[in-house]
Amino acid sequence: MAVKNEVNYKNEKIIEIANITKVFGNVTVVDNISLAINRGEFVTLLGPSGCGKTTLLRMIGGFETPTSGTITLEGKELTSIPPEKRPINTVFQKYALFPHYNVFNNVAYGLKNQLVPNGERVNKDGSTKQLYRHYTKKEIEEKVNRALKVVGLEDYGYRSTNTLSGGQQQRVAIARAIVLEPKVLLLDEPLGALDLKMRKEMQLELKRLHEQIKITFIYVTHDQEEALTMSDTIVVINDGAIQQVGTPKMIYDEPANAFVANFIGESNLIPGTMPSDKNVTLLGSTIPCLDKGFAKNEPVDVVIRPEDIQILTSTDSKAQFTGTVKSEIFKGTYYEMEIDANGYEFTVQSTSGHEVDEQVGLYVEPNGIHIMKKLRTINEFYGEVDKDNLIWMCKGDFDLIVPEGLEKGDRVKISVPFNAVELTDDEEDGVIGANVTQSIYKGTYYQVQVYTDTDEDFFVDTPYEWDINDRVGIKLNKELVMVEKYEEEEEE
Amino acid sequence: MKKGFGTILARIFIYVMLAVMYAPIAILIIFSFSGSSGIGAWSNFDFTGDLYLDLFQDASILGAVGNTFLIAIISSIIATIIGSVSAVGIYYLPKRIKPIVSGMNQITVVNAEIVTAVAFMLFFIVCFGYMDGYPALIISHTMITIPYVILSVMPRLAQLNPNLYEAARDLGSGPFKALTSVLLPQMLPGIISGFVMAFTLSLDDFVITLFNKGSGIETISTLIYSSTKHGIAPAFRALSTIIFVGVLAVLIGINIFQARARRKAIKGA
Repeated sequence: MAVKNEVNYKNEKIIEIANITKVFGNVTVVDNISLAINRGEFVTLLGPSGCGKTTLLRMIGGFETPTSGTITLEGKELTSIPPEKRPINTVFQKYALFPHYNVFNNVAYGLKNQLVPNGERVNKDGSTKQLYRHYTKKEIEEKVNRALKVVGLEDYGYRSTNTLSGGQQQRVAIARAIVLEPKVLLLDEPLGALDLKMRKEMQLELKRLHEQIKITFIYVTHDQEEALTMSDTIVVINDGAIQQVGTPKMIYDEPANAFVANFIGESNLIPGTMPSDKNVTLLGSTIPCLDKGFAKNEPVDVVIRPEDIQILTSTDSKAQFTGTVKSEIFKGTYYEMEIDANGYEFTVQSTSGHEVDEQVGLYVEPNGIHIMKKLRTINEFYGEVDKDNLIWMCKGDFDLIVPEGLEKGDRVKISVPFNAVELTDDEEDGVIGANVTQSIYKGTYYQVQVYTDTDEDFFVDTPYEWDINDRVGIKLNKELVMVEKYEEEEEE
Repeated sequence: MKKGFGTILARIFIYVMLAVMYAPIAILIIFSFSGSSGIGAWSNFDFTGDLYLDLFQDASILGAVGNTFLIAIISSIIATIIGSVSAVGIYYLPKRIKPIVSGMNQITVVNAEIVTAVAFMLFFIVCFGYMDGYPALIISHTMITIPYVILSVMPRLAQLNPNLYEAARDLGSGPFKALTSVLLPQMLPGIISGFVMAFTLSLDDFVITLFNKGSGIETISTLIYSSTKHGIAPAFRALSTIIFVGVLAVLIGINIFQARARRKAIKGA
C-alpha cells in the first residue's frame, strides 16, 4: 500500500506547510501557519468553528488556493496542482456520495479515472515512453470489494446510497477515498452528522482503520473529545493561528495557553503570580507547583483540572483552600460539584459526593497545577495626538491624558491595561465599535477579546459575560491608560 | 361525516373556477368539428372533419407551423445549453455576488414583454443595421427563454450536496468530467423541464415575434393575428385543437415519466 519504507515512517515528513496564509475578501482566515506532518501519523486539526481549520484542510486538498505560502508533499510543491492530480483524497463533511450511483459505482468512480503503468514503448530513436492503461473491470471489482470489506459493507455494493443509514454512508465515503490508496487521507468533520452512539463507534473504527491501512490521516474536528480519543498529534487552532501542537496527553496536561486549557476538557482557570520558582500564589494562597523559570511575581494563568482537586474536611491542615459546596450533580461514574472557595467557583470531580452547603477543604498535588504564561498582559497601540487632548487611535478619538509637551500630530504609544477597557452594549456609546471574538471565564471575571474594524485586538477584563460575535462599543478609563511619546523607528 | 356549509361552498367555488378555465377550450374543440364559419350558433353545427382536411391543404398555415416549430426547437436547444451552464456558474459564485446575478436573471422574466420586444427591435437596428426573419427570431427567443431554464435548473443545484463537484475532482476527474459525470445527471430533471418550458414559451410567443419577424415570415400566432382582420379562418380552430392536444399529450407523458422514475428510485431501495 502507500507506505513502503515503514521502518522510519514516524520521523519522515510527508507534508510540510510553510507560512500559509489565506485571505477571503478582507478577512484573514488562516494566518501564517507552518506545520509538518509525519508519514503515517493521525493528525487532528482542532478548533472552534470558523477558526480556519477547514480552510487549511481544503488548501491541502487543493480546493482553495493559498494567498501566500507553500504546501509540499514528499518535497514536491503542491500549490499549483489541481485536486484531481494530488495523491490525496478527502472524506467530506456530509459524505458527498454520488446519488445516481449505487454503492459499488461510488467506490469504483475514482478507480475508473486512475491510470496504471503498462510497460514501455521503444520509439524509433531508441527513447522509451511509459505507457499507461485503465484498470480492468475485474481489477476494479476486486479493489472495490476489498475496500468495502475494510469498512464492513461487503454485501452492500448493489444498494442505492440513499437507502443507507448515516453511518453506512460515512463508510462508503471512506471506502471511496481509501480504495485509491492515497498518500494522505483528509477527513473534514466526517462524524459531525452522526448521533452520539454512532459517533463513538465510528471513532474507534477510524482509529482501527488507520492502524490497518497505515495512511497518513489529517482529521478536522471541533470536538475535543474526538480529537483526544483518536489522534497521534493534535494541532489546536484558533483565529487562524496554531495555539499548540502535541500529543493528546501533552495538550491536556500541559496546555500552552488559556485558550487551549479552556477548549480542551473542563478546567479551572485562575489568574495568579509566581513569587518564586515552584511556588504560585492564587486566590490569596501560595502553594507548591512544579513550574519554574518565570520572572519574580510574573502574572500567570493557572490551570487545575476538576479531577485533580482532592476534597478534604474543612479542618484538615493539608487544605489549601476552604469553601462551601454550592451544587452537586451525579454524572454516572463521578460527582461534579461547584465549590465556592476564596471567591472562586471551583469545578471539582470526585467519586465521593458532598452535601450542598457542606464546608470542605481543597487540596491540589503540585503536579496537578499547570502554569501558563499570560498571552498578553497589556494592550499596546500606536496613535497620534489629535486636537483638544484627544488621542487618535484605531480610527477613534479617545479622551486620554496627554503628557505635557506633546503637540498635535505627535506619534504616541498607548498602553491599555485589560481593566481599563470598558465595553458598552450599544456600539454608539463607545468611541469605536468592535466584535467580541473570545470570552474566557477566569473565575472572578471574564477575559474578553474584541476585534476592532481596524484589525486590532483589545483584551478586556470585565465582570460581565459577553456573547461571541456581538457588536460592542469600546471606551477607555483615562486614569488607567498610559500615553508616551513614541520615537519612530525605521521599521514604522 | 356531515360536510359543513363552508366545505360545500369551497367545492362549488373550485368547480366554477375550473369551468371558466376550461370551457373556452372545450368550446373551441367542439367547434373544430364544425365547418360553420359562425361560431356560437348550434343550429348549423355539422359534425365533420373538414376543417382538419382544410388545414393540411393550406400552404400558408403549414408554412407558419413549420416556422414556429423550427424556431422553437433551435432556440430552446440553445437556451437549454446556455441556461444550464449559466446556472452552474451562478451556483458557484461567491455568496455576495450570487443574489445580485440571480436577481439580474429575473429582470427579463418580470419585464413587460412589449418592452422586451421593442428593445430587441431597436437592438437589431442599432447593432446590425437591420435584422429580421429567422436569425432575429432565434436570437430573441433564445434570450427570453434562457432565464426560465436557469430558474428551473437552479433549485436542483441548490438541493445538491455542496461538495459533490469537489468530490468528483478529488477522485480524479478534471473539471469537465466532474461536470458531466456528476453534476449533469443530477441536473437532468431541471434541464428537461427547462427545455420544455423554453420550447412552449417560444412556441406561443406573439409580441416579440410580431415586432421582430419582419415581412415574409409568419408563425402560427402572427398568422392567426393577421387573419383576424377578416375573421378567423375556421381552419385555425382545428389547428388550435391539435396544438392543445399535443401539449396535453406532452404534459401527460412527462408526468408518467416522472412517476415511473420516482417509483424506480423507491424500488431500488
